Amino acid sequence: MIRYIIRRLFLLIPILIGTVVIVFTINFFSDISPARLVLGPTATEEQVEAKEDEWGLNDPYLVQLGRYFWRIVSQGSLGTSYIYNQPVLKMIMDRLPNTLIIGLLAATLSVMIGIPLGILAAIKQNTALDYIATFLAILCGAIPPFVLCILMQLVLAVRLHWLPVSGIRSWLGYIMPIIACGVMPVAMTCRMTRSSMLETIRQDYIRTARAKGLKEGTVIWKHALKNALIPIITVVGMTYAMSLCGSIISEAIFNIPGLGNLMNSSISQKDYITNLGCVLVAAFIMSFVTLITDLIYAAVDPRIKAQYAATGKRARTYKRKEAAV
Amino acid sequence: MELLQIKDLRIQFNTDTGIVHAVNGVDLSLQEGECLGLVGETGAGKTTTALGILDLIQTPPGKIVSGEILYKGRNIREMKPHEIRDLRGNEISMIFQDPMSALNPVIPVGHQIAEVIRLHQKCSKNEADRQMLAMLEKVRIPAERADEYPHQFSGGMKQRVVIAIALACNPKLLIADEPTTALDVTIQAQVLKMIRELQQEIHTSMLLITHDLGIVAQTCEKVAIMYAGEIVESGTAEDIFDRTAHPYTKGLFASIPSIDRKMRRLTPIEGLMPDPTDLPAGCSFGPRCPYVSDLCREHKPELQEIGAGHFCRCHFPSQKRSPEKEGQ
Ligand SMILES: Nc1ncnc2c1ncn2[C@@H]1O[C@H](COP(=O)(O)OP(=O)(O)OP(=O)(O)O)[C@@H](O)[C@H]1O
Ligand SMILES: [Mg+2]
Repeated sequence: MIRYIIRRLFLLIPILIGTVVIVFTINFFSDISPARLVLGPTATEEQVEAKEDEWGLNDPYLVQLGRYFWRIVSQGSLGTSYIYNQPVLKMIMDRLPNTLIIGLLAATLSVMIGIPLGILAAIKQNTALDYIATFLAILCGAIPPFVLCILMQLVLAVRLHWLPVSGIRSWLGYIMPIIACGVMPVAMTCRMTRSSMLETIRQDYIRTARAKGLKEGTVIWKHALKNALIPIITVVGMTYAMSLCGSIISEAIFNIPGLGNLMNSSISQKDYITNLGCVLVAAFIMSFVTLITDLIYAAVDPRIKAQYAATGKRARTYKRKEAAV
Repeated sequence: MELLQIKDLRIQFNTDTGIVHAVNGVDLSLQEGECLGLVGETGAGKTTTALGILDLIQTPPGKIVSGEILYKGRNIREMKPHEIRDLRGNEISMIFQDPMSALNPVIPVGHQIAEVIRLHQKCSKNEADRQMLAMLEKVRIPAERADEYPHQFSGGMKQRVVIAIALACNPKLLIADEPTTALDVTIQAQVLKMIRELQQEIHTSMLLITHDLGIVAQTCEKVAIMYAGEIVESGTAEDIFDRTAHPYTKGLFASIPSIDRKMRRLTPIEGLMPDPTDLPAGCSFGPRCPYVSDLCREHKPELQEIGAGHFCRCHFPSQKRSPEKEGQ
């Protein structure tokens, strides 16, 4: 198991290198110069040229790429922002906590609401409760996030004055962004839980558990849930991975100084180096959460654990097959 | 007194294609210490009947429509849920048809056995574990494998674990639903012998569901033949094997190889079992019966006693059919 974790951590390196290369290449071929944007329209061609030379933007592709990686390895630095003239890493670290708080709370809340709601809908299948839960789930899944954000602002902030329209000067400011990020995952988790649970309680081993004389509650919690969880873990893992990287839309609408907002502004301001840093951090979070998800799989399902311990190579395809079942 | 008596049990499944009449008025009775074989081809309703006894029919789509299931004189259908739970796994237990899927894949096998012991004997965890290990030994699984998961076991071992779960609390009644069909022939005999030994050791009555008349001949004192959700013939093993009365039972015997009858060719029963959503108005076996008459097509035969304890559901039951009737 330890060896599996170490192998997966080493796998992070090619994933992150690949991400950087792809985003760097796209930015490299963009023809708008950040120097022009920084210096303004009045700057002469020579001034722009000089600025670009200072940032090394006129060097060949491989030199620039190599320099980026070398800076990470030798100095642990992601470079300096063209626009703000600050270390990129520091800018990200200043903003990351906001994103992480919102993401963590949104994902956790959606799991805590979605899974019980899904279980309830499944064990009360075809009752009013099931219909209400399913209806709510579809509704939550159908509202586009930006519509929800603006609606909440209009009703909760502008009309009722319960919450601030934007910003996070007080904890009240976190509420709307968390709801905005959590609604879609609640819907996904709930529907996934319901179908997985329904699938599980039809299995023969659940009948065996009932034939033992166990109480219905024990049958559901002890025998069904652990099996039903296996496909749900995928959805929950994805929810965490995506929420923790921040939402560009809701961070922009609610004016949250977070990773999503930084990524957004770095794109519009052609601050390529900041953008690259943001993507790198997001990719790291994604991969890390995926690793944790895979470890949780192993903790829940002994068959997957055996696979990890044995080969490690085929584990992922096996897991995907499991999830599909 | 009868340990188990089933009277006029009817079970239906509500499906998209119509109502499946899986069990249509089954009567069975089982004395203490006795072994009753329930025989019938696939889809006859054997498993459904067995699940009905333990009130384990999935509702929906299934439903017990009517009938009485008397266990020690008490109707299981009128018991409270907690009373039924006290019976399940304790006094009445079941070996399921498919051992591959009957065990929970994420719980160690030892725990799956200990669980039922702990539940019904209200003993400590250590005591339950001790009994569990003894049980594993009885079904010849090494004790050190108790912590392993079902996927680490072979099919035969899984079946033995299922048997261990069923017998863990020394049940009064054991329902064995084709306990050997999922196994290969060499293990079949082994497992059957083991069930038989354990059953005699703890004085359990058994309802053995199978479609293998050979197994019935070896194991059961009483036999009931089931067809399309009905008992078509029942009686002692001698009644069924030596004084066969129902054309379906005869057909079953003709379709299995037999050494003493020296038949060169097996004669399978022509045709298929009727669609359980659309059963014929008359005798269910009529469409496949070589002796069918107009009476059979229009009137459903009742189960009638043709000898002491020998019942047959046929308008023309006989041990030896006259040749002219066979010609019809
Ligand atoms: N859950 C269900 N939903 C719909 N129909 C069902 C269900 N379970 C059983 N049936 C139907 O009930 C009838 C009897 O099925 P049952 O499983 O009792 O047969 P069986 O005698 O045990 O057959 P086998 O020897 O193949 O195990 C069949 O026609 C089957 O299609
Ligand atoms: Mg069956």
